[in-house]
Amino acid sequence: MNVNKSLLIILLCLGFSASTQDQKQQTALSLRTANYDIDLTLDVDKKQVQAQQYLTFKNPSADTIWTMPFHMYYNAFKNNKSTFALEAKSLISTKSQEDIDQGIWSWIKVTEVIDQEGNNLSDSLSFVAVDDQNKQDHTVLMLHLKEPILPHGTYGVHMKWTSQIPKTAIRTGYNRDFFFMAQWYPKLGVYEPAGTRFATKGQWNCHQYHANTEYFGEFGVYKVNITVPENFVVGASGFLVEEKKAAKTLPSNRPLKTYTYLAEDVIDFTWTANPHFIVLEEKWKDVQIKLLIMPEHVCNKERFLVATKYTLDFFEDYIEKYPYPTLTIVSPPYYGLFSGAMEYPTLFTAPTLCILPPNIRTTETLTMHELTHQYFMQMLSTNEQEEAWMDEGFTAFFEAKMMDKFYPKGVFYWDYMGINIGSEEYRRGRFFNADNIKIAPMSQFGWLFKHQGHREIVYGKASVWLRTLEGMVGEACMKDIIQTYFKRWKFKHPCRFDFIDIVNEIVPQHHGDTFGPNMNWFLDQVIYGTEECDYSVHSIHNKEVAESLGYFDNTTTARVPTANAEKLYEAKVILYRLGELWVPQDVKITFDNGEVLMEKWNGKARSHDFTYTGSRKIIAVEIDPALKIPLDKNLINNSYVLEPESAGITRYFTSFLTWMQGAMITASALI
Amino acid sequence: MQFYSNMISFKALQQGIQQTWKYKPMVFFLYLLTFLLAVFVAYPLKSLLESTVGHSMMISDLVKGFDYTFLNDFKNAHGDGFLPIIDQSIAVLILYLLLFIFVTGGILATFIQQPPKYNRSVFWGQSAEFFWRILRLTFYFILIHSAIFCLFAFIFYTSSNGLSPFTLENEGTIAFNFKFVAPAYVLVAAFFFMWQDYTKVFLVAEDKTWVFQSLWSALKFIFNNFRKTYGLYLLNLTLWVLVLFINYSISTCIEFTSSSAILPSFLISQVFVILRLSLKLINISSVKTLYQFVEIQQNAAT
Ligand SMILES: [Zn+2]
Repeated sequence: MNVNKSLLIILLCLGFSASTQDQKQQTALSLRTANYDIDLTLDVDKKQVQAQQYLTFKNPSADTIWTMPFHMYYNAFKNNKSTFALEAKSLISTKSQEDIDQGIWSWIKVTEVIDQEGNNLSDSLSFVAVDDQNKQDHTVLMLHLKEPILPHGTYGVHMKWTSQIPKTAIRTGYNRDFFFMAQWYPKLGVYEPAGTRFATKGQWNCHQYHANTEYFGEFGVYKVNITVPENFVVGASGFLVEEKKAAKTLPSNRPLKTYTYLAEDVIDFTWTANPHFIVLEEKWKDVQIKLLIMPEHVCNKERFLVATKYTLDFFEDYIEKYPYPTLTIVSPPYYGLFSGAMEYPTLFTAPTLCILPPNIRTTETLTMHELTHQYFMQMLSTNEQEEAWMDEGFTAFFEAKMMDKFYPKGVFYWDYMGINIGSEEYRRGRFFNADNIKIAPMSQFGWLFKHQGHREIVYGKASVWLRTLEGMVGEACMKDIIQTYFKRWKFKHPCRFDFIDIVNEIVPQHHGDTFGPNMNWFLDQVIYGTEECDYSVHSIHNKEVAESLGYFDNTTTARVPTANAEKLYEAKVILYRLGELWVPQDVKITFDNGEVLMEKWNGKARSHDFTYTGSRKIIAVEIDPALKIPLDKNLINNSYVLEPESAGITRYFTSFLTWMQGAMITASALI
Repeated sequence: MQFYSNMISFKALQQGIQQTWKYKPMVFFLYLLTFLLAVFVAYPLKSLLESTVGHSMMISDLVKGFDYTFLNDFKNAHGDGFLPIIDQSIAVLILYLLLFIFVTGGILATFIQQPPKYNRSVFWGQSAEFFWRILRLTFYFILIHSAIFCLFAFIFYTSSNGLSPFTLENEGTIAFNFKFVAPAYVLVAAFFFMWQDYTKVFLVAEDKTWVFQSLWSALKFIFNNFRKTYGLYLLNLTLWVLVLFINYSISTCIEFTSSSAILPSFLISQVFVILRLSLKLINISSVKTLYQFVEIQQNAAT
């Protein structure tokens, strides 16, 4: 144990005054594998952070570990040949030519490393590029240890580091006096013991920083002393333990203040500072909600707070109550717009605009989305780089569900044109509007997606197939699946196998063998496949069956027409499977005598007929009448009526006609 | 003096309304033109919908109006069929503008000559007579209107620092700038639209060979009688805003979501089409009336 650590521990003990004791978790929620004590000073003039941190790592495995990799995210902006810059195909848009000409780039530099035994490891550092061997990429720093981390042992390492903050472009950075500090410190990778996620042997999971993908982190406790100019308002993950005048000063002699934050059982720590923030506080049960908002955006405060409470209510019922004592919402200034919308443990950003009309529900949508990530990404800490759909897909699925429940008029509505667009249909529409919905399987690692395919697959396709799964198995079964998944995997790192196992466990409990021994037939198609789903009603035929007339076997007299015989029909409907992806389908068949039949089709064959002989004729057929399968890319061809109602088309005809007339009259203003 | 110029503008507007009513066949002719041309493009849309998705049960829901899922799936499945309709719509729009340019001479001549009732030979004869000159005039003014629009767009864009988040204090600056730039644009653009209207009146009333002569006369006239001309123009603008507002309110308040509502909703929309066309003629007629009032006064004075 070295001097620095002892000092930090004393500081830690002093910092925990009795007044904040009640905000601490009574029992640890997670294993608390990677714990950080960080002491930092923000130099608002130089746009730098000077810090020291003490990391305590608890080896979760029986392995002896000789290395420790650290994410050095700010190094993505160190040069124009980093993997991030190459993948983004350009420098961050906010990098000015002036900065480039003057050689101003952003970086993070570790200047000193001392392990718990006092060994100086400052020379044992090297950059590695595990994903693409790009020597110019310095986003992963490997520390080679002198003393190993023993099986299930605890290891402490002290670091001093400095960073040059980038201009806000990709979530993090500064603009003028607004600082949004995410992925800002040397962050340890996740050690995966053999058998966890995809690991066949114990290994570090610490990918480079890619343009497409987000993050992955280990659970732990963060105690962070943030020293900033005293006129700055600070918000951070966790809760405020203490604020006091700082003894140190900046070269500019600005008076400083230190805020001590504690965040427990979280996978990351994010903070922000800006002199103009107004802090609005509200309670939801025992959760302290803090909204850090610019004065000009206060008009939208209710939009944030109401949506937040709806979401907390929803998840308390659907999964489990939000377990943290605080939730911080950061609504960035317009000039810090690029810092949002993004999720971090117990804190998220959601931009709003004072000019945003109430019928465009972006503020509410972002709030619900980012808050949902507290469950899918933070408490269920999936790997966002390898399996982005496991946080974004689930989040998009719940965002749509909640928006449609709490804002039934839609995410966008305009009474003048009778327009209203629901959240779920909007998400589905956006997915099917993508350039190439077959671009890659969902199981592909995030950075390997090409041609902007990442977004629509991990958000769009995932949320639509999750909704399809819910459609097939029913809402109660889906809730059971999600609850079981959460209870079993909260504060751990599940991967797709873990979710698939739970689906296969829960569905038979609700449906027996209706869907077969497991749901792999569906999950394999949507997770590993790239095919699309499209079923159609091809045609309806009602053919009159001629009466048997004339001589037949063993008849000596010819059969003659029966007087007033009822006409018989062979009524047939032909269904097609146009897409490669198959799902079982319900088929609703309506006859001319008012009779309605609900048929089942396993959906596997390329075509399927239902034929009925009798006095009735088929007048209408509908595949998936309850709209359980939104994954079907064309819902219009899912039904067929022999004699269509033309009123709908007439309505569109008259509307288009009037619209054209209006356009002509408007254009004639030029004459 | 102020009172008098207001009165004369009101009087011109009043006479404009009366004369438009008197020559209502012109309104109906224009209405018929818009209707037939719109049918010309709307009908293929109807046929496209019937042939591609006419048997779908989703169609019956379309009476409620906008359906995002339907429109989206339709676009993805049959969007190619819609492209010729868009092309056709643009062609029809251009055709309507040419036809409107053609009949503008006839409309103005009718208002100026004031036959006891709508006279076909005046209307068509003068339409043909002035077509090329009004076409040229329209071309010049399209350039002027575009320049004015670009100027204001430029002012708005630069005053809002190119809408760049990195240089603006907050988006309120954009809203604030828009609140000033948009009304200023309306007021300035109104002047140029007004100039165009008076030029047309001078062109037809004085039958000038060169459009530039009328342009100059109209400009002089406007400046000499600025209060009256601009006052009248603002009155016409107010009337137009009022009609749009009523149209908007009715469409917003009443939900037309059943098949039995299609006809009433269509009829109401057609009433507004007729009203908007009438406003166009009322504007021309009132401008012409003001011109004649002033001419009479000046003649009386000399
Ligand atoms: Zn998200």
